[in-house]
Amino acid sequence: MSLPKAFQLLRFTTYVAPRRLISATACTYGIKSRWQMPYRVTLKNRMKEMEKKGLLPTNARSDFIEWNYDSEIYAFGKRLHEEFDESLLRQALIDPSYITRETLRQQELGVEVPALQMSGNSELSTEGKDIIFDYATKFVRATHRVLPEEGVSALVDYLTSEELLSEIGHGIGLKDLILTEEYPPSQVTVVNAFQSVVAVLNRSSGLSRCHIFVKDFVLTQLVGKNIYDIWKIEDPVSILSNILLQNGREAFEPRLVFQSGKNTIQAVYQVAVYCEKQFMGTGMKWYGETVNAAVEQAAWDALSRLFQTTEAVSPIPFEKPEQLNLNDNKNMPIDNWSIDRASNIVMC
Amino acid sequence: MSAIRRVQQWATFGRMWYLYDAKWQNPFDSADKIKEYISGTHKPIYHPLNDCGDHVVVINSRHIALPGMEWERRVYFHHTGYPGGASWTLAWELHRKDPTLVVRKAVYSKLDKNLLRRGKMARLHIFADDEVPNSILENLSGQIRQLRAVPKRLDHYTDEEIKSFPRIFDWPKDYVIPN
Amino acid sequence: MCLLWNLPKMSSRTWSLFWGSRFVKTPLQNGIGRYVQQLQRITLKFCKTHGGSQGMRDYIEKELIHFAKENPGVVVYVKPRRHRSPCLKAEYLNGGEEYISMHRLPADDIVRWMAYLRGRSGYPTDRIRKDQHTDHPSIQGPWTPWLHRDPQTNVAQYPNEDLSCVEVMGRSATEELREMFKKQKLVSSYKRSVES
Repeated sequence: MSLPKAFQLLRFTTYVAPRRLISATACTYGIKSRWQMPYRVTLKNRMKEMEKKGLLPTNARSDFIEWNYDSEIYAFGKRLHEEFDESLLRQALIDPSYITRETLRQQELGVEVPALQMSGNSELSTEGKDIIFDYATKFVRATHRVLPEEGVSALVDYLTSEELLSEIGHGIGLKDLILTEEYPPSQVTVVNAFQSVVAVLNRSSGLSRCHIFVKDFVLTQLVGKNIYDIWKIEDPVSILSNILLQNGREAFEPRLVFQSGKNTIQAVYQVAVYCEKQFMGTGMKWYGETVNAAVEQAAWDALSRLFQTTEAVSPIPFEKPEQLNLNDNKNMPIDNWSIDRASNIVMC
Repeated sequence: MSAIRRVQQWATFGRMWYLYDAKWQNPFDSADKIKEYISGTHKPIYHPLNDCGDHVVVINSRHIALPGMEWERRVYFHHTGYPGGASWTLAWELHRKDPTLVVRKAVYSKLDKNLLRRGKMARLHIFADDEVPNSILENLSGQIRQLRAVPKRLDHYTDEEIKSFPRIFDWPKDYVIPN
Repeated sequence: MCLLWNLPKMSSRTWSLFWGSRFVKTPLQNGIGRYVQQLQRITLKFCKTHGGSQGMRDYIEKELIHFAKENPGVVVYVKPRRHRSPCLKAEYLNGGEEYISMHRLPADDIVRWMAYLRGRSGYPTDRIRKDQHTDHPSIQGPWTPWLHRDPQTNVAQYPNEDLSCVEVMGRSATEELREMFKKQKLVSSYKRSVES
């Protein structure tokens, strides 16, 4: 049903209601015109969008009036239960970009030769990076002695990756402490600062203390992670057959050990691989999936049993790192992986 | 979710197919047992929000054994909804009409009264005899044990077995056994 | 609290639709290597003259020094603001912030609120779905229907008599009777042999 033209127009004209018909709130504040609400909604949505895109300016924490850099530096060490050399720590938190900006600013203000008594953290950063890499490699080798060297390097790459280190840097509160050009500081900046903090700890408290720090903050990130999510094994079948071949064993044999609901869409098949009548690992297949996929999973399972990385292995001994045998010996590479040598290695 | 976790999930929640032979079994006691399997309470992973029930194929439902006077005394009530639409069917009458219905109704009434009941019943497959389609037999992955031993009738024994069966006393040679 | 009282009755499922829930978690595996206090700085805002800040002023005079001594890892800022009600603002290492009004609260209460803020992780106070959580639910591997199953069930032909029949618990009366009969036979044959 369509209203006459005059009535349609009337909908948009302001209509002042008699007093007894409008609510108390409206009486007090007046009736807002109808364009106000959509206008505010639009503004709010625009604000949300800008916030999502990161277009809104964010104030650095140090811009606020309640900010004392000396106290922050003091609390930083206390919070981590470490004794830092204060001047070194301050240097570790200065990004080179900050010095460039300060120099430019002083030149703009008319200082001919800016005298800045500060140096950036680039040198410390490389030092810290080496310490983290070195210790992480030794530690992962010592805790996963049967894991092929490829797996070790994948784990170490993960531990020293930019994403993880910057996350740790944020987690110990570096975000507000770093002196840098941009805010919030970029990933690289935070990583550099974190590595520099490690180097500072090495210089002020010694290498052993520094190793404990790396263990507590970096290596503990392995907890709760699946190794094979980090180290992707591309072709487990060929790797397993290669290992068996290298060790003079027979080729493995997949068998169907269990099935249920064969003619239904929820069919379940359990496949196991056997080598010389010895069980090696299991895989699964379901309706619509090929047998090869199940064999691949079974091979993967067999590999994880060989490399002693199943969920049943004992947790990494973070509490007793002194029991670990840290040395420079490399683990066996995957192309030359020996079952007999692996069985001689006793994990603590 | 990695491939391995996906597989794990499928394995843990995989549907099993169980066979149950209802020959000479009490359908009401059997329903208690079958109920556990089709609603999944026999599994350690059971949770009311889990959909982890298994399939149960019941065979020989024609040969169930009702206790006591149940064949004559048990009454199944139905109402069509129209005036005078009430009907009372005795168990033996119902069994004659459809030999799977006594078991089906026994299980249905034992299940929890909620929206999941129909879904659970869909996992129950009842056959009157031991003639089960091959497509269903191939699905099976286990069998539920019967609740009581199936009695063996006298005419199922061989003559030799009957002769060798111990007797408490011997009839006199001239005694005539009345038929 | 008034707000909660006015809410209609709802199941926990409906409640968590609106209020959310999460598992217990700790930032950056905190506590596995060493424990790091997650509260990094706290700001006490108050007015020097207003009555609503009386408790906060008492707290700052008497208690704050102890708090600062006991928690050297927390930076404490004190921020006087004219004629505005007092509050605590806590900032955590994981970026979380907490703001609590301290209007007209006595110093004792503020001590407790400070202790509360000091021990928090910085994550929002959601409903905890379960009291415990693990990434590895079972070191033996999760349960599957074929765990501890007799392998012969996989190759059996169904229907199977052996898998179907009742498991015999003890001897039946028939067996008992048969045994008695056998014994009796033995005894009688012995007697017969003795007599002959």
